[in-house]
Amino acid sequence: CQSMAENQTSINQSSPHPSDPDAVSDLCQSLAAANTRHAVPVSCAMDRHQSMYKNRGRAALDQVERRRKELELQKQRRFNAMSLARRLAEDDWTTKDVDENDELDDDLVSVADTNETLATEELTADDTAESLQRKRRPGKNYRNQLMLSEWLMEIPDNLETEFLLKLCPQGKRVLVVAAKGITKTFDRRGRCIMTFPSELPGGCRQFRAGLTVLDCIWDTSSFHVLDIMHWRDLQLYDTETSLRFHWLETNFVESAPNVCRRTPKNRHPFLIVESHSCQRERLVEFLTLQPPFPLDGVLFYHQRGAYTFGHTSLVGWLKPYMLTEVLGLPCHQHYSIGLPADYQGWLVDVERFEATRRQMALAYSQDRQLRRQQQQTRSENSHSMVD
Amino acid sequence: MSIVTVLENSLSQDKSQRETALNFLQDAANQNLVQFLRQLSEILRDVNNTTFVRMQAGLQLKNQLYSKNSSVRMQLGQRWLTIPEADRSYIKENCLLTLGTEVQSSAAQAVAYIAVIELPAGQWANLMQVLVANVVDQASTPLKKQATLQAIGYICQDIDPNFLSAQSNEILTAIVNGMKKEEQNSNVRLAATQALLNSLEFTKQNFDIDAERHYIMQVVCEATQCAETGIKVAALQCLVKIMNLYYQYMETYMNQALFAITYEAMKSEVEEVALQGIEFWSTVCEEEIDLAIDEQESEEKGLPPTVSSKHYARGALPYLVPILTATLTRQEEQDDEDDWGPCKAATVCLMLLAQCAGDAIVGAVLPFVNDHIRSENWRFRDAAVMSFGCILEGPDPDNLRSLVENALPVIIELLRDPSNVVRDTSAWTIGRVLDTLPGLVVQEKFLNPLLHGLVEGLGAEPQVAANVCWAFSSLASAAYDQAVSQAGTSDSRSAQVETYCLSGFFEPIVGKLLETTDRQEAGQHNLRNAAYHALMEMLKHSPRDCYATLQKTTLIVMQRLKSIQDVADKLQTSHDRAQLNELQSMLCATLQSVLHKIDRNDAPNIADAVMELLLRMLTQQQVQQHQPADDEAEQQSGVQEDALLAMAALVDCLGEDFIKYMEVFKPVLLSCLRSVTETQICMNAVGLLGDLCRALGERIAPYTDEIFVILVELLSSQAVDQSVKPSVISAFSDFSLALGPGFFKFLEIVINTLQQASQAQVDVSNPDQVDYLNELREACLEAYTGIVQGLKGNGPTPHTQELRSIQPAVQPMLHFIAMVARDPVSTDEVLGCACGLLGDLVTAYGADLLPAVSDDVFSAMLQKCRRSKVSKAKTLAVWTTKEIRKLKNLQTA
Repeated sequence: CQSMAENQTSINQSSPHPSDPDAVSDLCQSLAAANTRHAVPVSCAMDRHQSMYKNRGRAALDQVERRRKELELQKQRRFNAMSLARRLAEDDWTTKDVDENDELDDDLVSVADTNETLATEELTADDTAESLQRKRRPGKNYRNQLMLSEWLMEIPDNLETEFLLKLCPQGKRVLVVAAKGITKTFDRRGRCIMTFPSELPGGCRQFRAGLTVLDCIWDTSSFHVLDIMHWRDLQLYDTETSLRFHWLETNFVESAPNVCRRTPKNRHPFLIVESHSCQRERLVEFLTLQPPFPLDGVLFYHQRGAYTFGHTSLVGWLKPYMLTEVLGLPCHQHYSIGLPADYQGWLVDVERFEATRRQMALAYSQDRQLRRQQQQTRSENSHSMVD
Repeated sequence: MSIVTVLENSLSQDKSQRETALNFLQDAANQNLVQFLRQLSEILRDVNNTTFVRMQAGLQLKNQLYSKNSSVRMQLGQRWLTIPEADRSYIKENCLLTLGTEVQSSAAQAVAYIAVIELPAGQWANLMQVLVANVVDQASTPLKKQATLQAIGYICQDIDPNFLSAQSNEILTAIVNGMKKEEQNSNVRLAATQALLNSLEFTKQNFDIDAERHYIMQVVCEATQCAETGIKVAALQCLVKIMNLYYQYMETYMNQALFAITYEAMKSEVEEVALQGIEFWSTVCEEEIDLAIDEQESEEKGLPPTVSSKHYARGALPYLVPILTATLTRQEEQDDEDDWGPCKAATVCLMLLAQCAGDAIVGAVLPFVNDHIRSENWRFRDAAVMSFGCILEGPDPDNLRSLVENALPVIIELLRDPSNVVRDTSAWTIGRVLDTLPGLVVQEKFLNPLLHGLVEGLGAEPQVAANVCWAFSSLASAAYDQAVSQAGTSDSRSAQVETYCLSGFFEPIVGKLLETTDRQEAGQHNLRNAAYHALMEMLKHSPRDCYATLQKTTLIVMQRLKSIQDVADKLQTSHDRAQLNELQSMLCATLQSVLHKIDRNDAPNIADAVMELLLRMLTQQQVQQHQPADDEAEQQSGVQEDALLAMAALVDCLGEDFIKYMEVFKPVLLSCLRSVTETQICMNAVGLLGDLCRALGERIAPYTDEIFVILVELLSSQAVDQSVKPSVISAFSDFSLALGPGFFKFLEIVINTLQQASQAQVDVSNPDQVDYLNELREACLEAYTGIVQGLKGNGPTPHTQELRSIQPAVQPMLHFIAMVARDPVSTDEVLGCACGLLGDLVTAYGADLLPAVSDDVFSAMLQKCRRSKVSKAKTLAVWTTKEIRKLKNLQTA
């Protein structure tokens, strides 16, 4: 094939190539032997200028243009068809695409961060089939879109230079997406929890343009913004953590001053959770102050990480009462809230959490299996009645 | 009868004698071509023959070597090369010896036609030496020099520059020798200058060398100062072309000479000279506009630009504007469409200057506009409006806003000017304003007077009416876009606009446009086309509350199409048919634009009738095409092209319901697909196939076997234009998505084809071929995507069995993606498709693919595309990245 292409200049004089039984065998040659078109002769310059006079050349041009546009539309229709298959279209709620195993796997991973444990999310008394039905079907798009932490099991050597600390308020971990004039929040599994207007770019009818994607904690009255992934036209997923935080802390409020207030156009305030250096002297200063909100835990972000989906070792998690022990620093008394009476040290405590999680997961999957069996029997019964 | 006598008779007054003679010549050529050509060359050479006979011999010789039709030309060339060497040498020798023995040289042409065949085949190696010797030889007569230079000029004009660049030194020596001011004979000098004009393309290597370039430039500049207009004009034409080809070398000459030379030329009383002066500056502007774009692109890529703009145009602006505006006042009283002179050229130059200089143009031109827009003299009023219209594109629209706001009422008034030239220019200018500041014009205070002016203008002279139509085209989209933006939807196509500022006038405007298409003189100045185009734009951009008018218009359009078809059946002459074809084309395009607007519920009511019309157009055209083809062939195919596009609109509109037409449509579709020589028809048929697949889904299955065979034939056919092939490959993806597992039976051949096609290589130094390569690769990627998606199925769980069957192709697909990713010529569009396919593979095959996908080449590609400005590429890259991360998360969990 390659040699055919190289021979291009001699193609004019080459004899017909040997025929091959395979119908497409000479395809490659027929494709590669692209006709050598000459560059447009320059003597046309004046002709070209003539067609630019008033609307003189327009009729012919428009004809060509009109047909070209139509073909372009066809191309677009193909792209749309493919996008459909990729479920790229937003708000694709109607397709029943919940793969249950997949869903379980999501939840089996560490539940360390936030108080959003399996117990509260999956096994509450009212979480019956009906209530699941009431909530909108999870969209695949918004499932597993949050960057989740892992337990901090050892102190990294470069903690002081490479990590940033954020206090994590109590509440529900949510993904906030403002687009096309409406703001929506999704839980970790991609279920839409709330829909409301906000002054985030794209978030209300007046600010339709742009797209905002935030990683937040929802404390039932405000959103605490942990991280920012998209702002207006700016994609931040691939930017380093330090830069995203810097961006969040400087540009966010500046470019949308009203988002931290409660207004008719911004129904819930967005409050920024500030990041702090892990340098020892800074921490000493900061940890002795009273935390600004009831704490769920403390997050350690690696400065150089990009925003990834799911759990990552680049974000560490500790309960507030573990800090004194782990860092060897004195903390404000509010950090000790929730300290178990039988606390035997941080690593043991982490293991206790993990054990609980495994139990919960087991119970959850058994419960789910049971429910599925019941459902099956029910539907079999109904079938037999119809028969 | 001797051939000389026959040649004499071929010019006879008597028709039958003439015909007999021509038949005789044809027979002679058929019976013994070599003998015939030898004789012709002898007659040509023999100075004892009359001029008439010698010219006729030269003409006959040419007819055996050259045709306007490119495939015939190829055949003639091949045939010439099969003539024995000795005979060819004899004929060539005779032609060369003729040079300089005629007053008007036919031999120069004969030499050139033979050279254009032989030089690319590597023959007649000493030709250039002989020609150069003719010119340099002191003993040569001026006539011989002139004829020889003409021959050189013809050769340079017709041959691919690649075959001459090796001999550019000899050629230039000959030409420059003839061009020098020492040359006394002005015919020789003119022939040399014209030859230089034709040879500039392949003398790059000489232009690259300072000394040689200086010399050429000196000779050209001297020639521009020649008293003979012909030589002066030809030399100026050389400068225009040199500016276009060798901008980067012009700095020295620009200050020293070119500015002064062309400035003087622009002011010349002699129109041809002034015209070339203006063309020179238009070319400078075009170059600098292109360079500005290049510079911007390089900056975005972080590369230094290869050639940078010296901003000659911006620097010369204060000198150019007064001359240009003054030239604008030298309009012809009676405008002839085909005329091209300084006044019109100045218009274009001013437009280009505005694009080049941006905001700076406004202050330079505005005083002229203000001083003369209310002048008593129509020439000045017209020039003022014209220069205002010219500067609308280029400066920042916001800086023009208040200016336009002030000028618009005056220009609307001028739509009623007593001078038709002024009315015409005003209508054109309003169209320009609408394109530049659409939101401003549709304000209520302007809209009413404007519409009255425009509707009235539709009844004016054809030329004025045509420009009014174009203004309506612009107005339609301006008004609609305003309504869309008020409704707050960014995507104008999905938006359902309820009403807009033209709603109250919609019906009368459409009615008036329909009337205009029917005007007696609609054939002049493209009026009919312009009116239909305006009509289409109005219909395409109509809000819901104008739907009733749209429906009514649809019926009128259908009625018109039908009556035309009835007439067309009876037509005999190809001229009438050509005119009718154009009309059918326009009506069909109008129909197509309404089909996109028709409610899905209303579509079935007209579908039968539309189908009948379109089928008749397609079959009627096929009958015509089987008749001997002449120059109108192109226009005929235009009708079919439009009919196929309208059919696609109908398919899109009817969706699955189109199935009931498939049986009647199938034969037509197949024959369109087989139109290998009619590129656009073939291409549109292939495109339509995609729409059918999407509309019918699996129900297209009974037709696919037959179609598939044709598609494969198209791909391997040498007769098919290259541009069709990528579309065919993309069509495989439509098939696969529609058929799902039903595509299985075609899989082997398609995969095989794709693997071959993805290996195609081209000459990367040729931008056209690079474009083509990208198109081809995009098609292959689309086809692969279609196959993976189609076989995987739409359900929650992938069809593992089907997927396993293409497992062996996965590795080649990944290789192909990597190849595309590594290739620096890949555009973001292609890379986006590659990202998409990568994502499709990952979702289909899951974690097994992770190790392979983790290769750096893929992550680099994804990263690049996530930052792309091309939104498709960006979307797909983000999606694929997410899919990969999801899998990775699952795996680590």
